Amino acid sequence: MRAIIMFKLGINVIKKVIEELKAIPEIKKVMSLTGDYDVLAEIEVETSEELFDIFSEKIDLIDGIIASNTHVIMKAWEK
Amino acid sequence: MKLPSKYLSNLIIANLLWSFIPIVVKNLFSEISILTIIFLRFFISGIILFVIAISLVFVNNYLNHEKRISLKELFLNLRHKNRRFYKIRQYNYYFLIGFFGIILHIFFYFLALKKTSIPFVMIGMLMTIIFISFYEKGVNYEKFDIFRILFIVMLSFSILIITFVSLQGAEIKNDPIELLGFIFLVLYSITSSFLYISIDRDSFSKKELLNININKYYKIPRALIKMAIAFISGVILLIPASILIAFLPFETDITQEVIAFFNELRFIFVILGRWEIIYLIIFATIIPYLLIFLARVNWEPTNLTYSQWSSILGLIDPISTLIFSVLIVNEFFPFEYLIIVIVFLVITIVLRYAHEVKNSIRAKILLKIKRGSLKLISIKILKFYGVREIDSLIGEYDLMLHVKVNSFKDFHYLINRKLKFIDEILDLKVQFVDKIEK
Repeated sequence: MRAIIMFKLGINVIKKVIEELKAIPEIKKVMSLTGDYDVLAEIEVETSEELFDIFSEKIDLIDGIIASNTHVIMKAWEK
Repeated sequence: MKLPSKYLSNLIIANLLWSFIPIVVKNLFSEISILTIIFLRFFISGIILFVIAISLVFVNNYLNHEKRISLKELFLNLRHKNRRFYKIRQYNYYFLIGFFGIILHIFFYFLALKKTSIPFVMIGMLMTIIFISFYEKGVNYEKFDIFRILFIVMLSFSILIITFVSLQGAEIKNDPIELLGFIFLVLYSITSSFLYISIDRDSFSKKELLNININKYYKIPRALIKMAIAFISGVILLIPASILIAFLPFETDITQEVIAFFNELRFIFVILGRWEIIYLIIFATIIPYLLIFLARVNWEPTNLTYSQWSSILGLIDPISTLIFSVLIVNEFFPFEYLIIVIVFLVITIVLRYAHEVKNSIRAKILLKIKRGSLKLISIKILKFYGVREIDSLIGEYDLMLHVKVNSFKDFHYLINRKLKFIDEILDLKVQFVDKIEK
């Protein structure tokens, strides 16, 4: 199961948050954004329970994250 | 700009080593069947790459207890469905690229080389680049910007000059280039295009991604096993294919190659001891692939990705082959024409680099879609230029488009002339990607 999480961050924390997100093994992609959100992370897990565990035990503890928005990927199309 | 110089040199060395292949094998064709050469090169290389992969896993596990690589998982993942290649299992994907990509493209390359000359065969490499460009345009993956058009024009001019000079050389040597040689060259370009398009359509399973995140060197044994399986399965499939050709009611050049191949199987170990075969195995297969995989794993985030540099530097192979064929084996190619072709091909490299650097606007577009139209809309949007991937989501938004375009003009066109004309899109949010961090 794949999910994307978009983050809104506080001021001057982007580098620190990105480093902490990169250190989580289940997160396979991290990118900085310009727009409503500051960072996007893509996570790969086995179950929704695992997603909850990683979110509550690792991601939610990162200082500097103001808000997050999670979407589960149902299907992917590629050229 | 920060260059990954250390690993760029890996790509350059690999291409230089490949460029010696036609020079090394050209004289071998009169003594040994093309099929025997291919069989030995890929079968032995496959075994060696496999052994290296397993050894690397053991060495890693011995030195690095915390970041162990599981051999069992490495093999179990072969059953994983490749979502980027028609959802077939990984091992079937490896068989396909092994036989139709690697083995057949080298087979047609050698046949063309046997029937024509080394410079003439370089046309095949240049045609492959043009075919891939048209394929990418056809599927709306890339657009023909000014750089791309110019590099196709440069390649076309180079092809014309090489053809003209090769025909002249054939006339002087009284050894005409046969039509069959050109047909083999076209077949080489087609199979080679298939190889380049499909070889990167590999997908990682969930467990593999986790393993890569824990230990990035997991990718090396995985890639080596992929190539080993592709090589070995390719040459194994070559045997029934050869038998089939041998029993065809009509005789062709390929039939003679097949008969010679079966006759030579008795002397296989003697042939294996020849320096040309050893060069092909060690210096044209094992070392280049190791260099490439090492570069790929250690690639640092820079302006361009590994794949982009790989396609830019791929032109080193035909350039150096052309130079070495003139300098080492005295192929006919007047100096002034050689300089012109080299200049054209170097300009092509620069144009290709410019195209890749310019092609740099990345964005994620989030869409809310009207109920009941998700699937049809996704397939429709995927056809638009710039849309590389689409994820269907559960959450606030229904779709996320992964977009990469050449310019803001193209981006504006996608948003305002394409997406905003779709009634089923209720809301649209753009997020530009600043930097890919992982």
